[in-house]
Amino acid sequence: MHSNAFSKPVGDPYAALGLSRQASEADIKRAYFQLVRQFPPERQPEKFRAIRTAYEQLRDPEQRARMDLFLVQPPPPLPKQRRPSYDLSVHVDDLLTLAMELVRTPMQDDLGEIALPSERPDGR
Amino acid sequence: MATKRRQKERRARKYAQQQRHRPAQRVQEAVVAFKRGDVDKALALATSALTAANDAATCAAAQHIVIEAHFRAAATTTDLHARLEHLDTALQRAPDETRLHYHRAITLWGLGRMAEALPELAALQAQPGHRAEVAFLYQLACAVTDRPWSEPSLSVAEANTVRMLQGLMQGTDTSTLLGQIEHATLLGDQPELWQTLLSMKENPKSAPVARLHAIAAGSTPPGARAIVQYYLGVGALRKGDVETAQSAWRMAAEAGMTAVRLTENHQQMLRIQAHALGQEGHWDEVVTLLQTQPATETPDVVLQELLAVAHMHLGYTAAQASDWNTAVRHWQEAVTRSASRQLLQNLALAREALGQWRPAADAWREMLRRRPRKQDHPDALTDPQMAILWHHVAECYERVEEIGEVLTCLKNAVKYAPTDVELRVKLADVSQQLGREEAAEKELERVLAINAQHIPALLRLGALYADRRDRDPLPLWRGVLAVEPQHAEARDALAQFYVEKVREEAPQYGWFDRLRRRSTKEKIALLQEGLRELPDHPLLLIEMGELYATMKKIKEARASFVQAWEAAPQKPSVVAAAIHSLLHAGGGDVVTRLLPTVRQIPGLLAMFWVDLMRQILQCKLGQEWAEVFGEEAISLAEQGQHGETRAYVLVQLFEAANNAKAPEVAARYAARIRAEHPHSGGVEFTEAYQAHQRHDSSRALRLLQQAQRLARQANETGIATLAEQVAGLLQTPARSLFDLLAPPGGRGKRRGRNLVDELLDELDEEDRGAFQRFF
Repeated sequence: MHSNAFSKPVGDPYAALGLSRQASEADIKRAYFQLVRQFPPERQPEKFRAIRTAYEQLRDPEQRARMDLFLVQPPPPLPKQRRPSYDLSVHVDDLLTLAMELVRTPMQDDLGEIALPSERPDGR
Repeated sequence: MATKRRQKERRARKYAQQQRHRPAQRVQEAVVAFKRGDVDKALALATSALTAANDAATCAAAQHIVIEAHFRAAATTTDLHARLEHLDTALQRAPDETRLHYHRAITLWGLGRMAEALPELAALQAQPGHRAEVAFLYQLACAVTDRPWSEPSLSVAEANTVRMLQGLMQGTDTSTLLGQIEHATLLGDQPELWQTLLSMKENPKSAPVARLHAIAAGSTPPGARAIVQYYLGVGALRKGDVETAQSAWRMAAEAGMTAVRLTENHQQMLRIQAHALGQEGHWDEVVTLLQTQPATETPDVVLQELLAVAHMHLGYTAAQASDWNTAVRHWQEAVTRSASRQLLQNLALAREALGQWRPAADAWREMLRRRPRKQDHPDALTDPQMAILWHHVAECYERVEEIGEVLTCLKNAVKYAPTDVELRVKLADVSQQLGREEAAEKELERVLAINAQHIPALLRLGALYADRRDRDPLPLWRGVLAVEPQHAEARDALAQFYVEKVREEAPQYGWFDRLRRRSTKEKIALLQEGLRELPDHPLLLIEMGELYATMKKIKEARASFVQAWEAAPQKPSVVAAAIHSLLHAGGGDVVTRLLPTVRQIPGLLAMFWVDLMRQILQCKLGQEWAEVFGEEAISLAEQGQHGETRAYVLVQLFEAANNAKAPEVAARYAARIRAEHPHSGGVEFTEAYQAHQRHDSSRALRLLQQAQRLARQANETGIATLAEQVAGLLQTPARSLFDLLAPPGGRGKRRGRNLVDELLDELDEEDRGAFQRFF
């Protein structure tokens, strides 16, 4: 067993065949034959080789599962949005706090001073 | 003079250090830190001074700083819980300080803990000369907690406000209240404030944005302004004006409002915005939006998920453009917010693409750790997949030579693929590499239990048995040959085993025959048995030839050597052994006849001939042969294959001749180097050798350095490397080995010598030569 150690992530065979990651075996076969008709080996050997390689990697489910472990995975879709629910009511406790805030002394006004013993008036 | 100055400086430093540790000094430093605004440092210094101080003045000063520092910290934070904590700590040190009680009551009020604020306010109210607002706050607290309250101490505006808020708390209809306050004086500089908010409460669709804007812009205290800003946001959103709402809520948060609904509303708004941007594929904008909002600092699962998805998309786009650094940055961000297996897989692959094998292995391991455990989960990994991944992680660790981790990962892989023999063989190899031979042996035996004909396992186990000498390796090598009769490694191992048996001096027939060697006849019989099993094996044939030679059966000896040569004419080790032995047996004519076949060996190195020349000179088999082989080496070097230059080969021949104690041959090569390759560094190399022989090591070293420099200039990498290696050996102190081995004391010295002797015995011939040559 070989773990498929790559120095760089491998080319994506799904992309080569124009398939999604969820493609079925039938989808893979269909896409392959369609592309082979489009790029026959005698006319476009390079392209055909790429298609063939991709197909070889995906045709066997076991090899495909192994391949999937070493492919960069596409990001997940956007999570479904829940119905927005704002709280747009006026709350009594906010009004209570407002009343308190209107009269209270800010803490900044109550800050004390600290002096070095030598700076104190009593000289201590 | 200088010494005195240094002593003085040292004393001054020590004094300063002692001073620093004095509580009074710490208090001084705390005051300085406090004045600089470094409240944390002031607090730490004052607290430590407080515990260490033993005079009342220092204690009082430190106490004062601690209280003030806590108060200042409470005033700075917008987190009401943290503020309360600071105030409580300060109160433990100054339980009678009124301002601490006052602000504690206010903080509790802000936290909605009115029942706890009430006793604080009651106590403050009872104190003579209390703050003007205390009466109002106390009466309001009583009113809204269903306690009796009294009007006389309050102004008209204060009393009206208490009445209105009490009504609200008691559930009085808002429209009634609005009617009551229509012409009443209420608290605050802006008469429309309460009316606006009450009308918003009365009518959920009311959105007096302009009025709230005006109120917020007026002269309202910051805490009150935060609430007005919040309701400005509420009003804006009631009208569908998201932008105004967002900006108002941001301002409310900045002004210190920490109400849950503000955070939740803000988060809700961000979710909608981020979702809309994500749907349009503007992932970078999603990241910008969510990372710059204070609301995302709180753990909102939905926002964190959106941010993770945005980073995943950005990472994927970067990966598709092979920008792996950017991909790693985004995926790393996403990993902190999402537990997705695929994400970690991507991160591991990106790390691999950057050649960061250790972080890649860590990412793979994290991926395996986070995998879904339920087998029916769509992302669940099958056992073969698990084995593949663990094997892959092992390979990542292998690249950074973390063999211990390789072993752990392979063991994990084997758990998921217990019948995978290749994996088990690898596990055995790694175990052996770590010196765990018994574990390796057991692993290989397990492989053979699965597949008794597994050749790599048979070979490895055979080698292990042969090394350990506790089990018989023959059945294993024979097992390989039963599957693959021409398997070279097994044949060689088996042949070597016969040869070792022939050379064996171990007791055979009990105590009295302890020193008995095998007779020549017995040895020949053993080799014949070997040749029946391994027909024409060159190793056995050479050994047979050697035996005949010792019996003075020269004809048979030569026949065996020739047979060995012809059995493996392309194998340099066999050919070299055959030539050497033939020359010992006077078979120079045969060597001359077969020499052209040696030149046909593909990929033969000039060093083959150099080594042969060294052996011939060491055995004193004739200088003419030494010269023949030397010329063969030079002509092979002239073909310019394998990077062996002519100058390099001449230097090697010089060194080999010296090594074989043939100074006249060495001198001839030295002269040729001087004449034919004067600027190759070879001349300096030969002179260094001569200087070393005269025990002038420093000159030898100098010349070797010169040789390296010149060789590099002349592109003679072989000579440069050789000179570097020899210089390295020369620079190693000759006595260091003794120093290392000999423990102190007379007996120790003797033991040291014995150990050196043992060490020399263990070195093979070539290493021993090198060792003795340089030390």
